[in-house]
Amino acid sequence: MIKLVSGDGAEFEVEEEVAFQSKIIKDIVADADDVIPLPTVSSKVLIQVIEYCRKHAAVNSFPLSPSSSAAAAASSSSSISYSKPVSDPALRAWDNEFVKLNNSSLFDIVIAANYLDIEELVDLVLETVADRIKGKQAQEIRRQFNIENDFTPEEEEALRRENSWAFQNN
Amino acid sequence: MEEAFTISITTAGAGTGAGAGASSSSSASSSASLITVVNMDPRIWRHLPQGMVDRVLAFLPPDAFFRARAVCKRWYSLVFSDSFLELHLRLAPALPCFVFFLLPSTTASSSAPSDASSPAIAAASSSSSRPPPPPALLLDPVADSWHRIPLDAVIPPGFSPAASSHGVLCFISDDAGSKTLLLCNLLSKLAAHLPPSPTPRLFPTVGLAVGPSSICTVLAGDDMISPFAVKNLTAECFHADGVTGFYSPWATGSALPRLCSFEPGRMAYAASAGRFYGMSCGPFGVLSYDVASNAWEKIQPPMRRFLRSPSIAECGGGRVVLVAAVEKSKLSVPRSVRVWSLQPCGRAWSELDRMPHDVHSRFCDAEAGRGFECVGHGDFLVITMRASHDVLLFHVRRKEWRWAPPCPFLQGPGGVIGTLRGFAYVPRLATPCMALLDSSSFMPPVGFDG
Repeated sequence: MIKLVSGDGAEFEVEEEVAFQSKIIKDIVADADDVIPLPTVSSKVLIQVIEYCRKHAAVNSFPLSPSSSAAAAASSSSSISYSKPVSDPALRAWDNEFVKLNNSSLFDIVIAANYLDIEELVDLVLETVADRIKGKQAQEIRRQFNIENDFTPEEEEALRRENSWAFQNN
Repeated sequence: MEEAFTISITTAGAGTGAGAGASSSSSASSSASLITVVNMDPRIWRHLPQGMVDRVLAFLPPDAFFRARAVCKRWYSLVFSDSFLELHLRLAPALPCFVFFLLPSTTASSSAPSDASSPAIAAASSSSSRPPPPPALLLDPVADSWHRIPLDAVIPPGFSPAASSHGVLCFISDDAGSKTLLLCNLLSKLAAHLPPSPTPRLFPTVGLAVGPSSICTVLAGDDMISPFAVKNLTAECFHADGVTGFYSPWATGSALPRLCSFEPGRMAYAASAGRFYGMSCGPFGVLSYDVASNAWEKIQPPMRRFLRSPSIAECGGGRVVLVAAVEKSKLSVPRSVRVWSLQPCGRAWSELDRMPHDVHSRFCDAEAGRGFECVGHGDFLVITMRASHDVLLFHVRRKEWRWAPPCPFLQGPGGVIGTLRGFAYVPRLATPCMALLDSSSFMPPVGFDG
């Protein structure tokens, strides 16, 4: 068991395979003791991150269900490895539920996951953010990320013309 | 690569820009993970570190990414960053789309290769007034959306679409003789050409298979045995692999099986089998080419005496399917269009589905016995008909038939009815395999002054 200590002093005991979803913790444990202080992560966020790691550790430690491993085999042989590996559909569905969170929770989780080096969780949140902006116009996206528009109106018009296919909708 | 990208982006604006003024409601999303319109709170997300913002952009599908480029100059210039392109290739969803080109109906029917007479060759050789390449019409069968991408700044006149693989489209020179193949990425507007093929041909069949760092092209049939006659005798293969360093420019000639006659159009490639498949007519047969052993074989199609307009297509998981109309004059079998799947043994076929009656009656009206063709991608097969703008989709796993929404760029009064030729296509910002074709090492092809 490994003991994680959040920034507000709460202690969480978790199994190694759960904690080792974080590459950073894996590295720390290799050459230190089993109590790991995480001063920048609050207990609220840590609870959610541990929940994610627990689920993924459990799924990763078992072989994929027959249907999904067949799908994975089919996809790996079909194309010359262009696409992402197929993950377990049940886990994918769980992930989709997991990210149904408000903005500030999602943001805190991605910062913590980045700090803990849990790449799958970082990508899960960032993909969710991408989903939330993909139908939006440039002006809305600027507002959401607080980005200043440094194009002149002429440049912006030329840019839209140049990639007109992407702005067509039907 | 970066330099080429810069040039191509600036020339891309030469397109007509039709449809730019279209309304801007967001396209229907296919993603199951999409949460119904959640507002992004700017007080929170403005603090997201830049590296992670870039990673968000790498998750955007290509059309959303191109819209997001209008946000600021830094985002705009991300397509010039090799590391970003690599990230986007890895993270962005691979959308199984189709690209269509509207060809004049006469071209589509007169390119039947079997025994071309001298006028056909003369017509193909004359290069007086060549039309610019038609725009690419992109269909996303999941979102049911159409996009129009002009190509006149990328593809010179005198080239026709011939094959596709992943994010790469292949165009072939129309001139009879030695053939030049142009590979093109529709989104980056980057084009590169293969060295000219050595054997003179008229309208050969083209197969293309690209990987992240490999290109394999096969050019088969329609050998010109004299300036006035063609025969289906040989095939040539161009193969380059950036990982193994294997590079074989048109070095491997192989003889085609006896008595074969390719249907015009492209070949299907099944990666799982490492084979190209093409349709031969009179009598119908399926020809398969094994890349590794450089050998051809013939596969007997099902019900071959009763087939009309058969097509070979590849869909998800490397499955090879045959789509054809079945028409027996002595009717114990209803007239229909059937889909067969090639069994793993590579010799036998099993029926996958038949076009339902209601779909078939509309199909008959649109097709009117003129002929049709089929191409596959992922879960979808798409059927297009001669002299018709209708597009019929078949979902292979769900066995659902439906008509695609009409292409808005083909509407309007006075529009000429042509034939839509479809190709499987994955929109990609970058197609690294094209770097294998360093155009500086080859002579520029004749007529490439575009």
